[in-house]
Amino acid sequence: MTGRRVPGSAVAGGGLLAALAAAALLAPLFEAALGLDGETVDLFNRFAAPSAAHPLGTDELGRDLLARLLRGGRVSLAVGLAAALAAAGIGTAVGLVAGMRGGWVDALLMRLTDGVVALPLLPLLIVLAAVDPAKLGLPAAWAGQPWLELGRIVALVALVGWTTVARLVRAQALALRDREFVIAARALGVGPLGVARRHVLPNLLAPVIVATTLSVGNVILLESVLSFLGLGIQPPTPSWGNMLTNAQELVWRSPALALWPGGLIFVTVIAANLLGDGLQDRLDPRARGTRALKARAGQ
Amino acid sequence: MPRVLLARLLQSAAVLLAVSFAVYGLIGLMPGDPIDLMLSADPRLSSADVARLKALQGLDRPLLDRYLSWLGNALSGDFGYSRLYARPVVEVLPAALANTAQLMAAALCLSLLIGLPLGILAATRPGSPRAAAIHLFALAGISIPPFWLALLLILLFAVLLGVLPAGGTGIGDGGGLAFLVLPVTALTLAGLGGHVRYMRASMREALRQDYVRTARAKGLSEPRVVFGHALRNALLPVATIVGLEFGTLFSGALVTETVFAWPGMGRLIYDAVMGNDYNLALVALLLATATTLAGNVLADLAYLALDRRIRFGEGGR
Repeated sequence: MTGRRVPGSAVAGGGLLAALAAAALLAPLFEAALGLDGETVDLFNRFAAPSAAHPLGTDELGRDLLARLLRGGRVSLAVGLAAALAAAGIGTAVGLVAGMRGGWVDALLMRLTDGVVALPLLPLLIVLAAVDPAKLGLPAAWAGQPWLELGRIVALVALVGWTTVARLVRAQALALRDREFVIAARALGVGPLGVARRHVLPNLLAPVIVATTLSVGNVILLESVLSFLGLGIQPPTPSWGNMLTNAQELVWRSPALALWPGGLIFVTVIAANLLGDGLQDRLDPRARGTRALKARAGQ
Repeated sequence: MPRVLLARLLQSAAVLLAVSFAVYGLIGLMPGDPIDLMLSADPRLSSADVARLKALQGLDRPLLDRYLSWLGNALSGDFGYSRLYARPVVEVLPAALANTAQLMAAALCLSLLIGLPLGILAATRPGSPRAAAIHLFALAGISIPPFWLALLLILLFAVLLGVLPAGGTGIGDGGGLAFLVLPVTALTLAGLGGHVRYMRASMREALRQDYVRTARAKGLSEPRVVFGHALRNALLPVATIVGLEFGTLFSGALVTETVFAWPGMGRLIYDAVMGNDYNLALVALLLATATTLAGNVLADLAYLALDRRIRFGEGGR
């Protein structure tokens, strides 16, 4: 890697993400300092305009909007990060096995990847999201637990988000497989797992980090869509997506309720994409934008 | 060509079969099955009664067994009855499919017509303010939550300006194109950013090739280099991606239709899943999958045709 500078847009994106994450992490402190909380319902103070007590006003149940945005941010960012990492894990595993083994394993895994990409994913996710945990044989006590909801949405999003990383890792693994240092390791008697772990994986780290950064944005978008449709994070736990579920009916009454959560999703996703684009430029300036293109075109 | 087509069709049939089995199994795991409904109708039912009812409805048979009898019925044209619409499933679907096709075709065409030229413009003048503006626009396009964009359009054009309807088809009031404007705009913008980015990346790649340098060295004007030489090669990867996009387009249509109360396939699937209408949900999902797969096959064929002609053209030059 040369000493190229990371583009300013990527620094801005990274800084914005860090600021959002810090605000979300420190939400309890802010709430304590400002004397706010996002759960107290005040039906005599619905749709309040911004004031000293409620800097951004209140929602349809009189809850403080700023506090709910901060808490929703915690949930949305945590789910986005967890799902992006899980998707990167699945994608790396699939791509590594396909690229290193080759032959029919490769053909099968890549057909599977093609198949997943080609499907109408959101309609299928809706069915998956509607599955009743009790009928899967999970203990009844788990039903409605917040961590189960979070785990479910992370799993769902990861289940469809791994394909880009898988294709990227496979292509890189194929290229690395025949490099001298890998052949030398093999000749020294290092087993396939050892070769993958010690020699191929470290060389994949940079592109996987870039692809994961770029997928954080998509993952947050998908989570927000599912939550908006009522199939993701369930109220009363706020997320930026589910705060918009009721916004459509209320847009006539209080546009601010629709503007804030969506605007924050927008800013977060733009920041993640700026950071990902910038990292990609730095990693491979010539292939600006073409990596994602090739990964999607399956080349 | 016929062999490729046959292989593609067989592959698609296999995917469709796998999806139908998976969805059949999943739908059995959703809350509110027929037995649950009977239970809520008569809370005095004992667990022995529930077991008897299950046996009576054939729900105690193994999953594969039930799936195969569903498949047999489906293949003979019996797709069952929709609980939500109180009509056979096959009578509910055509209208929804037509509505979705209208929406998706308009949005895809518009998005390509606007997106591809913008991508070319950005690729031919790298570093210019124009390219930077297009880049930023495309970045915003892929980053905006699609349902929020739809809400913003409603807020601006229906609430603040009051010039366009906020949703529905207006069929009762005589219908009209006005009802299509906002949904089509929302779905177009949802795909536009991606198209600009793909076209830009692909054109930049094409402009780096040796034949472009040769064409420039020959003294050809820049438009002739771009449109006569680079464009056809740059379009190939874009064609592949657009072919793979039908699934994404369907997902986008689901969001758009839900927000704008547009009675298409996406909204139908959402309502069917939410309303525990098993037969309808299953068949509608399979129809959506089949349509998507058919779109992929068509795009593959278009790609093959395009590719062959280019190879042929190069050989003849």
